[in-house]
Amino acid sequence: MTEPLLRIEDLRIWFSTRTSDVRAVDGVDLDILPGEVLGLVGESGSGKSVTARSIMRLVPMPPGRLVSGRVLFHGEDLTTLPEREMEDLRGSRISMIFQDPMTFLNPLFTAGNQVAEAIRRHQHLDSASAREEVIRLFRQVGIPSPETRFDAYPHQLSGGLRQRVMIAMALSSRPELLIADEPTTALDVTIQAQILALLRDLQQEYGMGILLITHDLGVVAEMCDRVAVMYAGRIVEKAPIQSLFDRPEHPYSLGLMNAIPRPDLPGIAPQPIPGSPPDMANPPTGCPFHPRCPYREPICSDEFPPERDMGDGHVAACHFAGIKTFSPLAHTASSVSS
Amino acid sequence: MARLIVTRLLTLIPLMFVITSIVFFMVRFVPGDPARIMVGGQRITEENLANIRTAYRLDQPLLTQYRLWVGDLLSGNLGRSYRQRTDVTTLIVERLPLTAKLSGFSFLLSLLIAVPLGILAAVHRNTWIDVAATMFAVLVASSPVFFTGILLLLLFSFRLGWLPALGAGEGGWDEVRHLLLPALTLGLSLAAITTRITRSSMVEALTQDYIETARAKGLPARSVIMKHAFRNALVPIVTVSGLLFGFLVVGTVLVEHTFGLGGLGSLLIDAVQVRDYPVVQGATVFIAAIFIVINLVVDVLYGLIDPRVRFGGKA
Amino acid sequence: MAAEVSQLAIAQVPEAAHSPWSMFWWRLRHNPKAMIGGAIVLFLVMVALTAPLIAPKDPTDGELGDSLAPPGQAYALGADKNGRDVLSRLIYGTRTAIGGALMVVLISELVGVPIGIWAAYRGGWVDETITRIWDMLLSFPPLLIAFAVVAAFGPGLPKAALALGILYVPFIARVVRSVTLVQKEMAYTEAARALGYGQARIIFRHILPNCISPVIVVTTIDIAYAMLDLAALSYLGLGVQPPTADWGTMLSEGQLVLLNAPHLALASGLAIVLAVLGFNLLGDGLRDVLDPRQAQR
Repeated sequence: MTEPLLRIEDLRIWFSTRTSDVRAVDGVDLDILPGEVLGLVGESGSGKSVTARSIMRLVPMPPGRLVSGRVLFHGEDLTTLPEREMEDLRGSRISMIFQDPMTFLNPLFTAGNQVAEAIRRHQHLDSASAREEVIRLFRQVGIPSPETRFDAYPHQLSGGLRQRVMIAMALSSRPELLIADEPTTALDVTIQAQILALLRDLQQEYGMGILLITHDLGVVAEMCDRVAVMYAGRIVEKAPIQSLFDRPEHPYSLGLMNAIPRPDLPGIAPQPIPGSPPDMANPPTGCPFHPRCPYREPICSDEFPPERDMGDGHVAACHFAGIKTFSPLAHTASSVSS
Repeated sequence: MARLIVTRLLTLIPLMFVITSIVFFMVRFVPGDPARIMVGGQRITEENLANIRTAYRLDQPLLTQYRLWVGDLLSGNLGRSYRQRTDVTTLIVERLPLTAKLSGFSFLLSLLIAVPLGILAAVHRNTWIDVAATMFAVLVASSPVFFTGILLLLLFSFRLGWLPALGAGEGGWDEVRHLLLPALTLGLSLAAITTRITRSSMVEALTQDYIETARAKGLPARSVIMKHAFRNALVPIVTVSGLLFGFLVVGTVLVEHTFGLGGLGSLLIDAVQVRDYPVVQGATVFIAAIFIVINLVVDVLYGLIDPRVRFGGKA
Repeated sequence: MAAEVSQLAIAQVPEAAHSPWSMFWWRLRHNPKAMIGGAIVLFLVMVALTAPLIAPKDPTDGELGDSLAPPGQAYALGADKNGRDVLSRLIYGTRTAIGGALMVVLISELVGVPIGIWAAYRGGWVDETITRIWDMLLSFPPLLIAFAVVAAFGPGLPKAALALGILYVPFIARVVRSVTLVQKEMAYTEAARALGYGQARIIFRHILPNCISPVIVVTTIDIAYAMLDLAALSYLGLGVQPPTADWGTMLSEGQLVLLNAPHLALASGLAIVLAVLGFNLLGDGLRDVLDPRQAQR
């Protein structure tokens, strides 16, 4: 087995409020292999973004607090790395792109300067060569007339162009790992497809690992090699992409699938998961998903489900993984039993 | 950018108009004879009163008086002091340099105090540093500027004997030594306001998404704070600096009185005390004019900092 | 991300109380600024009300032989130039300070509340003109115009308070206008109008009650400003006239004898700081409690 590029072990990050601890991330284990695209999916508030940010130590602490866990990059624990070395790593060997390219670009600096800043931080170039390099990158990420775009301010660019600027910035030092946090959510549908295509091309070219965070299973199907499904601060299911879509072993994964429109199954309407994610200051006992689960049994509210290995790298944290069949769209027919 | 300045001028010129009208008409609407009010209830012969009426055109219809007065203003003639028998413009020009130095020096000191303090408080918010900075700001803001001055006077001149207590000095280094206490007094009071503004706009800037991008690039905390956050925090700071100027004007008046400095402020207050109305009127109009110029400068600075203003199309 | 975290934080604030009033008290008790400020204000109000009972001597009558006596047995805080008891003058000065500031804010409310409602209610050019004018006045320091008023009308507390009161109108009117605008649009106001209620009833039943808490906040903070401005006028000899006991006047007298008798300036100056601080803290605290969204900015 290949050595993972990134390994997250038992990561717990809690946020302290005046009265209680909010368990945003509560025991995450995750591997990303070199050159692999791993999708991390879940509803908003499931802890995806905090998990992603904790890799680069971008979670503000306080109020955040690392309760347990390690983040190993090439076997080196990033959680204990001196800040100085962490800074050298950020934007060079690990990069990140964000959801909304408008708010994540500084409105007071030109697009080109913001990318050049990243280049000059990690490669020792003078400003003229940095400019050359930015223009080359702009061309590579498909920004038309890159020379003039260099001097444009973010508010003068379209959403798609801004995201391309972000991508140019993130790739400027040829990272081994790219973390993409909902990179297409804020964009128009047509632009979304272009940006995903660009990311896929660049991933092929650079051979980098990508952690793609999204709530959109359609994006996952298009981009990823493997998927991890996150719920209430934990990974509830990890599987190769085909395996997950064919045979989801956690009712939550199934719920997510049923919630998206299926053009291949006409006549079946998308079915949102009933209820809402739990209050992570007071998580439910047992399986955190049990209050919303159509397949729940008494054991679900009493015992926390262990991870069950279904073979071929498919694991699920459900008492009934491999026992009950969670066939797609099954629970739309049978009424919710309780 | 040019359009921005023009639109601001269009809103500032009415302000000038309102202020001048208020100071002009006020004395004319006071019950009684404006000529007598202008001389401040002194004993005076009828003949002299008649002379005053002619000199200040009080014998003419109100609107004519106003029109002529505005005409004079536009040609730079602010009228003539009753007490000092000099042109108001001359008096102002004489007194202006001291006040300008004092204000400039105070403003500089206030920035030197407030900006680092506000940034520190924002970066370490909800820690004892933040609490201490906020307490400093509230306490100083609650102290009248003249009392702050008296405290500094007691400490630095009387107790420690480091700095002179009164007067403006003889130019050069001596003048700096004389102006240091008054400028520090005013600078502290101003800093009480600017520290709060710097803190809150830095807190705002530091929670913006682009700060995370800057960190994700690998920039060290120092340049994230000073380059990415502070530049954005400057926008609200600059926006209120027009207001700060108003505070500075009143502050100079009071501080000049406390430290016995013969600047524009003492000219105004002395004139108010002896009711030398032409001087009060002239000085107020002059200050209003400066106020408008400062506001324009602020707008230009604002555009220089924020490209969204400079190029229009605020996103 | 940061927003996500703060949302979590807000959701966690315990609201033990249920009725608006008990919630208000709960929040007020847990706000140190409001509690300290409130205690100072309460103390000063008590002093002002009981001045004749607690002042050891007559504030305006002095023993010339005791001129500038240092603090001690006969005079707890010393005597001033005219041999008057500084403590007694401080105590009576509380009345001048609070009374003067109240005069300023009452005038500004009497004028400002109707103007604010009127501007919002009429809308259109009336609103626009009024807002324009007060925006301009807000950017210009009130004290500077007050100087011109004193020059024209002569010095004295009532005149100074009247001038400041009128110059403070925009502070109140601005707040009342924005509250009225919101309330005017609120569904229940629409409903009230549909039921055939008159304008007056809408104003008294719906708009005025909703103005109370923001007006209280602005008033408290304006009292602090008014105290500073009135003290400045008195300090320059343009406000309260002798022999009335007043902190600003005492401070200016004290400055003349700063070298031999610093206690006079220190006592009156600290009294001003205490009073202004009290109202500032109370105003800030009340804003936190009554208008949390505004306060976060």
